[in-house]
Amino acid sequence: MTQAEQLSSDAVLEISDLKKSFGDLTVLKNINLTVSKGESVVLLGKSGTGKSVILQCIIGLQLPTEGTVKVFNTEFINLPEKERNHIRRRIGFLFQSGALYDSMTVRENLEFPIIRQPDYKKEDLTSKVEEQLKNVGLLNAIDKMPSELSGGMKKRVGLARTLMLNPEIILYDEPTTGLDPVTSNEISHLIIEMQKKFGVTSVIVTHDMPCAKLVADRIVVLKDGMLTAQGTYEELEKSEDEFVRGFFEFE
Amino acid sequence: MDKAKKIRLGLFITVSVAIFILAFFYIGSKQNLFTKTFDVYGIFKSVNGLTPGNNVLFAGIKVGTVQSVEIISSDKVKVNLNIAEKYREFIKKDSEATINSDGLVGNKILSISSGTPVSPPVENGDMLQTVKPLEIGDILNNLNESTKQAQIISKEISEIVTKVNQGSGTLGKLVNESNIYDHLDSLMTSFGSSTANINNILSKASGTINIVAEDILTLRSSIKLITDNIADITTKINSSHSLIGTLLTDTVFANNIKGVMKNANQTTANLELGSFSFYQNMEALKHNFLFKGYFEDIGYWDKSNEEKRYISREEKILNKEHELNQRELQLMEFQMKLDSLRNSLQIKIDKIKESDK
Amino acid sequence: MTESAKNPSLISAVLKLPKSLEDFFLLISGISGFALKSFKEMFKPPYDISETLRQFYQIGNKSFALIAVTGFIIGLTLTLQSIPTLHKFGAASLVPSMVALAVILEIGPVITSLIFAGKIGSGIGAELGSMKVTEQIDAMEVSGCNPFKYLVVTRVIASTLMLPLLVVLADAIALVGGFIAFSITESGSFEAFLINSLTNIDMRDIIPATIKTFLFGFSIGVVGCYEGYNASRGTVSVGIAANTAVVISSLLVILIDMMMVQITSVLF
Repeated sequence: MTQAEQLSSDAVLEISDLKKSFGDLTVLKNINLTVSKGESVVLLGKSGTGKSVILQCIIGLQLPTEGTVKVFNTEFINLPEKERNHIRRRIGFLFQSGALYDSMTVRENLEFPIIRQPDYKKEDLTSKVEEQLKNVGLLNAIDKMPSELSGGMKKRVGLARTLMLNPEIILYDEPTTGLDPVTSNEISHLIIEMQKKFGVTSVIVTHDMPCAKLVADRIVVLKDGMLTAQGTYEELEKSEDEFVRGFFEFE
Repeated sequence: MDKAKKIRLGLFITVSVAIFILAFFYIGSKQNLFTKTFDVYGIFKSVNGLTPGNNVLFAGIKVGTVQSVEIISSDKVKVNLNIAEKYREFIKKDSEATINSDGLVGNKILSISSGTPVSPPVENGDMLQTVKPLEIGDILNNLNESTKQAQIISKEISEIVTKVNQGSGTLGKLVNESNIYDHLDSLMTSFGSSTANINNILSKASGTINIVAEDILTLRSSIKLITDNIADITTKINSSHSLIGTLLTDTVFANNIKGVMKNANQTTANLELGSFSFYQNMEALKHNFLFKGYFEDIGYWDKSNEEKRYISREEKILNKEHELNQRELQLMEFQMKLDSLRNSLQIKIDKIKESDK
Repeated sequence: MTESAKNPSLISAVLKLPKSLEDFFLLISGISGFALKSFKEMFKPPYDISETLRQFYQIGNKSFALIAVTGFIIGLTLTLQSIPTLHKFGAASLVPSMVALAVILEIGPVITSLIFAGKIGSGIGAELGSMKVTEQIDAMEVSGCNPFKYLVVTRVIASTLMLPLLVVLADAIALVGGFIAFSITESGSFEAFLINSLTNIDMRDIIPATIKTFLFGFSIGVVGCYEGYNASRGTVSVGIAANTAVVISSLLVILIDMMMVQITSVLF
């Protein structure tokens, strides 16, 4: 089976002709991207070029100015609230800051999305919370408040919370930014582990190249609101485009 | 949320809801919102500002409220009352409704009298007998009328005295003295009945209302004036050995005057009693600004106006006194003239006798 | 983040009155739409009862101390100041009834609501504002939970229902304060004071005075949530949200009060 055939058959995410502007400022000009099931795609780009906006358009926090975003073959953002939320629960989103609810303990943070499901079972709750915390190695922090956690721990709890709903796609918004190299490495390995364990599709926005190298099946480079290059880490490392090569010249 | 917080929240909600409900029921019970009630009505000619929501009292206890006041014809006002059912047995079919005012604030109240014990209790939808409200204004008007009459009489008496005085100039006028006498006599009689009238009013009024002092004072001073005048005349007439004196010293007239005097004394005593209690009330009232408005409304308690009236009356009284004094002087002159006339008459008679001899 | 980060300074935030008519109308339509949405969502299941109870506690119980002190002082000072004046007319016995009338009809609801707007309006504005800034609201949204229901509806319900209760308590405490001030110079039992206070108040006074406290509570909750929920990104905007929430909700309290006085004088 060729790669192209695999893409068309297993595509879980399709972005076509996406344009997004804020007032007079056009951030995304024309984005076309297809991600297939189980794939890890890293979005590279300079800060402030709209990488996060792509993620927000995917999950529906931002509405595209033009173009369509299809997840699981549906433009779910136009669906009524109930069905929209149903699709959304199949997508995880790891925020840059972790976005833990700071009025709740770690346990309550993890429980929060679950107990608001129409079909949640109370009995499984504690075991599920503990299991997810074990996955990220933070079981001992279960009754702490977010303010007591370090940046890396917050991100890991955030990841655990995202995993609570067993998402099929996880969108990572700069998962390693602001962390020391050791913690960054741990997070990167967590991402790979999740992918292996649960077969999740990942879209990762980052400019942390070691992380990208570890996790990426495919790297997409964003420049001036367009996707200028894509390929594997090795392919792009040898790119003739100076802008693209710029990301790889860190060593 | 833990248990302690839940308990505190529960406490918070319970206490505030309880306070609200208590206040709500307390205020509601004042308006008979939550008790069983029945309706009766009364028809008045005028309700003196009674409005819906005013209290209905029975034996001084609040038993209900005025529900509505409506004009049903040009001289009939229907007042609908809403009364608590539990008081129904005490209000009889012959109980009467009166409108009067509530002491302090001057709110109108409707009071229901107790009725006769044998009469059956009222029923829902009954009409209550009504009593025309006793108006202080009416009583005072009556009193004023009497005072005016007394004033007129005393003026006429003094006019007569003047006439007597002037009549003294010539002997010829003596012939007319019987006319004067008749006039004076009839005046005295009417004065007597007038003071009796005043007494009557006062004894009627003293039980029910407080009288405005100023009118009493006027009344008293005018009556005093009259009695002084009369006393003056009588002493002068009695003591005088003059012709007029003998002419006027008549038992009928004397009895009449005595009656008047007695009457007048009674009046004064009454007035003193009335004015004392009135004075007390007035002192109390002066300290209550709420009454000021009330008295202003009925025109009896404007301080400056009052003082002016008072001063002008004082002046009048002083004037009268002065007049009287002058009259006394005139009377004395007149007596002297009479004496000298008599003397000269005597001399002439003597001379005539001598010449006759 | 590519959103233009033109954050106004804090001073201009304090004075963030509409810069132009356009902004003003945007604000009006924004708040009205938000209010309407809150009202609709209130009655739509699922109901988040435990969170609503938590907000009852946060908004009701935690404001009680402040409201109690304010109420007490209002009753005390109002009485102290009216005694000498009414004494001049020999009507010191009317003080309880005057104080009760003023407190229950107007001062109690309005002052309590203004204090409440200051405490709760700014609290909600800052809390939701910071949740917005740290992407917590987005996180709820993407996990398929309705943050509007969880954050806004619970708070609006809590402030709508708790403010009337706080006003009742503030009124009661103000009367106690009034009694203490009254008993300094005058004599009489608390019971007599209470009976005197309530004689001139009837249903036609109490019902509109209660209805308007629900409206005050609703508008304070809505404005606080609106400002917080729509905070732009950046830490400064949290301050702006809190501040604007207080300014607008206090203004709304006064405006609603004025309208209610007119409406009730027509209806009752």
